Amino acid sequence: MFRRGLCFFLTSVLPVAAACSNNSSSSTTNPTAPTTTVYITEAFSGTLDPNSQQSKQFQIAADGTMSVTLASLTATSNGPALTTPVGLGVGVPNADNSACVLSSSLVTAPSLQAQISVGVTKATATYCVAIGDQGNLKTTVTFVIKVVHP
Amino acid sequence: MTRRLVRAGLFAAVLAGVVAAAGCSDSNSSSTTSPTPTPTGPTTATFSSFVYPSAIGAAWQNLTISGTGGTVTATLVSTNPPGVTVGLGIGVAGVVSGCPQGISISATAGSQVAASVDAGTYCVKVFDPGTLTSKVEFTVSIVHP
Repeated sequence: MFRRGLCFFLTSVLPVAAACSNNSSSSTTNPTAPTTTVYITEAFSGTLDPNSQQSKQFQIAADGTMSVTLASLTATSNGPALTTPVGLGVGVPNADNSACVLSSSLVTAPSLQAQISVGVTKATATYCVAIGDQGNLKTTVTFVIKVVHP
Repeated sequence: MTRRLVRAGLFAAVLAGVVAAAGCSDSNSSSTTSPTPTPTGPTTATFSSFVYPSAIGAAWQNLTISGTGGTVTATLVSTNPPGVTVGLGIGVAGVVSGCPQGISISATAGSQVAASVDAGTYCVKVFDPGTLTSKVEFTVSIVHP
């Protein structure tokens, strides 16, 4: 009879212990380390004359999303913000680096939220942003373009 | 004697089962523990300084916005002397010198400027709009995520 009792003990307890053992093994599984893309914020500033345009190049270090913001447009470096719309675009330099071939652009006034968001690839490496007067400027203005990219 | 042995075996089985179940129960309860929520309310800061009459007369205070961004609101609380009009703006900072503004207004006490912003470093700026004739002290209240 003792053996029968012992048998009952083994058959009733072991499955429960095994269930717990399964819990333990699942909790010790090593998670896969997430891949984190590091984003860099750059600012490109300069002056823009009426009926002119400017472009700046920069390097991409990884695949990801690039966001571009015309963060400031002022008549003087300390002056009030202008709301004059100008052209803003992103793209890649042409073969001789003499121009920025735009893939996305818009006409916009300054904002503190991203105005253009595009996917970029490390393979392309070099991208560019451009700003240009659309015929609205009467005098030279100072601009700041903020670019966040991988 | 035989009954006693059976009871002993049964008792051991029940006891061990309870202990084992308690262990499992502990595992389950720890996995359902709720994390302590992080406060996400807006932050209010006070910016007090002064500005001189000049083409480059300005004062600004930087602020960092994390997460997904939000709305930055700056209110000109007071000026000394009272009733003076100053420039009040919000601009981008951290990656460029000074505080180039993305939005600005001509402000008297009570005036407010607000902007939706992404995560990043920004600044609230008070500047001479070209009309100041003497030093102006001011207080600005800034509310941001």
